[in-house]
Amino acid sequence: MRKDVMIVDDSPVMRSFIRRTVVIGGLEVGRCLEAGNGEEALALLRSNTVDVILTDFHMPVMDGEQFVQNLRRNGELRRVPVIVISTDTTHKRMSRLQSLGVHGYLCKPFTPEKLAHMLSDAVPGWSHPA
Amino acid sequence: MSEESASGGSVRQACLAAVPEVLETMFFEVLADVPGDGTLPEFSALDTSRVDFEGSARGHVVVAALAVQTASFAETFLALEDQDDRVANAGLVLGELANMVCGNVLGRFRPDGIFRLSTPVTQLGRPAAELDEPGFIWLRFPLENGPLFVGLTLEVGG
Repeated sequence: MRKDVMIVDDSPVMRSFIRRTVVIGGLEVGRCLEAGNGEEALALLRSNTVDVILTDFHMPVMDGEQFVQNLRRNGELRRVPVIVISTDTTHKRMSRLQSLGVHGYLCKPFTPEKLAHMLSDAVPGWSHPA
Repeated sequence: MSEESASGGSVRQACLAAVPEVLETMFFEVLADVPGDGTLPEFSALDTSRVDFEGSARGHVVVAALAVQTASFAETFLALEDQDDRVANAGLVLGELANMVCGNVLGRFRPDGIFRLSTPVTQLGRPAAELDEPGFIWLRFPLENGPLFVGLTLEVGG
């Protein structure tokens, strides 16, 4: 079953890498929305729905933590699962994001299999290959 | 610079562990030989990307490689078959490599710390002599198309 995905990262090559990695992981992707920071993402989400959001932490304008805080304050968006993908592997950062209710925290580097498992766990009905 | 700074052992060990993991997992690049301390090739032009960090410690991470290796990073990271596409994306991909190396080294060196990382600043075809700033240590990671050099400075704070 196809699912719609949003990828939020200030690096266009990282967005491209993540998009490709989701597909390599064996998951079928419907629409894939992309944004360069949290503010752009919130603007897109005013007129689009997605099944899961993958976001970076360190971004200009609105970082990942501010973005997640905004999502959690929004009645319609608060239930969309969020997975943070970041180079920041420090414990404080991870526990701070998890306290905001993110579904998962994926540290770079990561394998397609690891991302697929996290996504299929976060999105009901989205299966990954056996 | 303290005992645990770039001249000390632990950040060097963190880098020696972090770089191969990043290269193998995200770039499908396997080391061709044992990594170690390195000196920059004196007369070469290198593509470079630098990330500054501050927080529980402050400093810089620089990655540097020959253009042919940088294009190889773009090829494997983005699955690009076209040579022009590889060259066009080489700088952005090198920036991602610098970002991942920096985050991974800091996560290993100070797992209980908290850091802010700058946006990578990338320069292509830079004379290697310009990179040899005081305070940097350089590590060399041999790869098929030429070595990846990783430079570090670090000051440990609160």
